[in-house]
Amino acid sequence: MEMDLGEDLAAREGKITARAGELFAEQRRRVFVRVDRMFMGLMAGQWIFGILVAFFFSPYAWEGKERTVHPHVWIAVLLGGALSLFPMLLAWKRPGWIVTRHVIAISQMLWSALLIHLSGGRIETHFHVFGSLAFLAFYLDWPVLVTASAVVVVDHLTRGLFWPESVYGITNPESWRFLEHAFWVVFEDTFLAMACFNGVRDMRRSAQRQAEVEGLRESDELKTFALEMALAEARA
Amino acid sequence: MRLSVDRAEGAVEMSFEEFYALALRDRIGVVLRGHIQFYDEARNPIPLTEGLKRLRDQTPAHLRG
Repeated sequence: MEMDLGEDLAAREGKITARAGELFAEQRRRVFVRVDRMFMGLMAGQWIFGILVAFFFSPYAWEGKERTVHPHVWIAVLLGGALSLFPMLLAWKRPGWIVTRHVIAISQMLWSALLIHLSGGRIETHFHVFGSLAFLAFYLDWPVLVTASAVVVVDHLTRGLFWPESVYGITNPESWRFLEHAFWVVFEDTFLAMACFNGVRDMRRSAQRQAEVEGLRESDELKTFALEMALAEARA
Repeated sequence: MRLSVDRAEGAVEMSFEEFYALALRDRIGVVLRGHIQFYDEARNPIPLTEGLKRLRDQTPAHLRG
């Protein structure tokens, strides 16, 4: 009447595998949501920081004796606001969604571009790119690094061609300068992607172990209940 | 609350009373093989521990040791 033992074992194995898959998906989602929230705070902080940088570096523009607020300040307020508010909205309303983290990656790298521009192409501000990639690696999702890196490369290429002072702080950089920057981005990405793969692998193993422990606990509960039924019937 | 028992011909739904009406050998076989699942009135699955607790609480008087 019941299935045979081989089928039982296969079914139990299948159940554990399915449960491990559930636990893994749940854990990954938790990581995505947590990092989305972290970026929500970072985006707000960057906006304030961008405005301060604009005020510090170029607060006013002069035309004869006329003093006006420098366009950089408006760029920091308006463009910075646009770069921060959209990903913040997504992180608030749709945390864990794949689009949210890719939008965050794009915005984060555009923030690097904006800060580099506001600082007049200071080479030190380019470190923001590398710090941002490291933060994005917290997602443990390598395609996010690809999106972010593509934005950096396209930004360096186009601004290098049309407005080199904005990105390198000089008017006549070598035409291949963007490739040098891209190389270091890929260099960092290689190690961050390895960290992502390792993190996901560990998460999968941990989910498998937890599913096995749950399976063993269930099996113990079932055995105890079967024994109780047998004893109760023997006593009755 | 209902439970379902996996048989070779597929899952069979039954009440707790119907489960306890099965022969002891059948009940033990089903339980040991883990061929048992619990559902609430809205047919949502209930964790095994909770289901077994409720099943234990509703053991008919004549089967209590």
